[in-house]
Amino acid sequence: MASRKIRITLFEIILIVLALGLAGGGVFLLYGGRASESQTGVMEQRLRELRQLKTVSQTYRSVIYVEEKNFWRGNKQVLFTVEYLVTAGVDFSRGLEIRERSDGTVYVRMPSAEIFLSDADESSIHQMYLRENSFLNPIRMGDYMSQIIAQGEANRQAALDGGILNLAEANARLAVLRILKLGNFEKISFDPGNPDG
Amino acid sequence: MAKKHRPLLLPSIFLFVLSASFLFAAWRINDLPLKKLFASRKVSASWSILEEIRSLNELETAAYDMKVVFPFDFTGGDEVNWTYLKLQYDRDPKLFSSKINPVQYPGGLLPREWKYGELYRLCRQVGIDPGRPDYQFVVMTVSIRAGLDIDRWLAGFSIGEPFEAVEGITVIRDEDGGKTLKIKVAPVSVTSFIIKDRDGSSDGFPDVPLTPEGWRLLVEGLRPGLREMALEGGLLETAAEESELFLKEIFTAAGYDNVEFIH
Repeated sequence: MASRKIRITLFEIILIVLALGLAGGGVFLLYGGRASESQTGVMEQRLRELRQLKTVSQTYRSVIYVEEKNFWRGNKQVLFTVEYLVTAGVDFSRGLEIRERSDGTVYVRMPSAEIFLSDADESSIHQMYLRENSFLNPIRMGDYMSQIIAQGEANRQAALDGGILNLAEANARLAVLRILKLGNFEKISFDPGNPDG
Repeated sequence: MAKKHRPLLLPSIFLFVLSASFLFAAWRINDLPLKKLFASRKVSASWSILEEIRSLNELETAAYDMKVVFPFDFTGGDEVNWTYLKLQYDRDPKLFSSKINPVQYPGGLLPREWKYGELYRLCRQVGIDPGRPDYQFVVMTVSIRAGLDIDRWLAGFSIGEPFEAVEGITVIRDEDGGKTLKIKVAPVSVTSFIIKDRDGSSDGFPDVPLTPEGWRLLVEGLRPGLREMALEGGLLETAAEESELFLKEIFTAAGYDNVEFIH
């Protein structure tokens, strides 16, 4: 039996190439706009001076709920609690002035108090409820980390509203007072303002 | 005249029409309401309650900051046979549940891969499988800080008279009339262990499937190793030097001619 010869014309080739190009364009439209993934895995380490005097620590307990509904990939929900630590104090690396005057009084000028940290304590996470499609739509870090960060900012603001800086500054003065008293300075006075101006 | 046989013509036209339709659909999905069908609807909520206010006096004088990539930064540069570990784990996870017992193996020889058995177990516990070909990893920014607990240090003193030793602090008058202060500083210690919160969806690294519980287990599992790395990097030594320097600055500024530290 004679075999049939299949002839492909130029028109058919152009049609197939065009079809593949169009399909590629569709795929690009759907996925091409997404951010490319970085593969950086550089380890970075450094030792640095701090000289921060932490004088107040506040603990907040936050409840976080995240839900995502997707018709095709399924829904996911997670509810958990996490504790935040907000710490404040005085950063002496911004300048500390101590002057002994002729009358024996020691004058101290410290930088203003500031919040050093408002960060979630990961070891305190208590996951209460989790629902996910672990194959098609699992819970990812990106689903809840933005909410963790937002709540950290909210806790920072709550601490500021609650007067954490006043308490931090008062405690810092007390600490400096106690240190200087060790050196047998009796008359110690704090100047207002900070050396940074 | 025999009719020309064109078996590819119809499939080509069909493929062209299909691709054009796909392109059109993709364009519509990206621009118009059809996108909603594919898009996710997200809801998130949170609230807080203040639980505790604590006064403290921790002078943090050194920080060891690092960016680590889990699990690859914890293999000491070794090429780990994750596939072998995956096979063993899938076969019997209990093998990974305790310290490896050499008695299980003839001659007491452990396969080299078991060195990272514990690391692999942690990976699987948190939901990451390096034995899979898609190379999941977590990037963490860690800051471990150390310094002096001033309260603890001051508790060891009572304010005494000059020229006599008072529980570690001594003020002496030099022969030339100058004042020398001798201080015994309390040992420094680690004061904070901070994993910086990072938005996994926007920092460019792949967003890994990791539940909040998995995140907790991961941090708990890595904490001892990270602390060890910071200590080996000289965190406490730097903190001690900086603490002494700070106290020296204070007392020199306040009029002492010499400040010495007793170790």
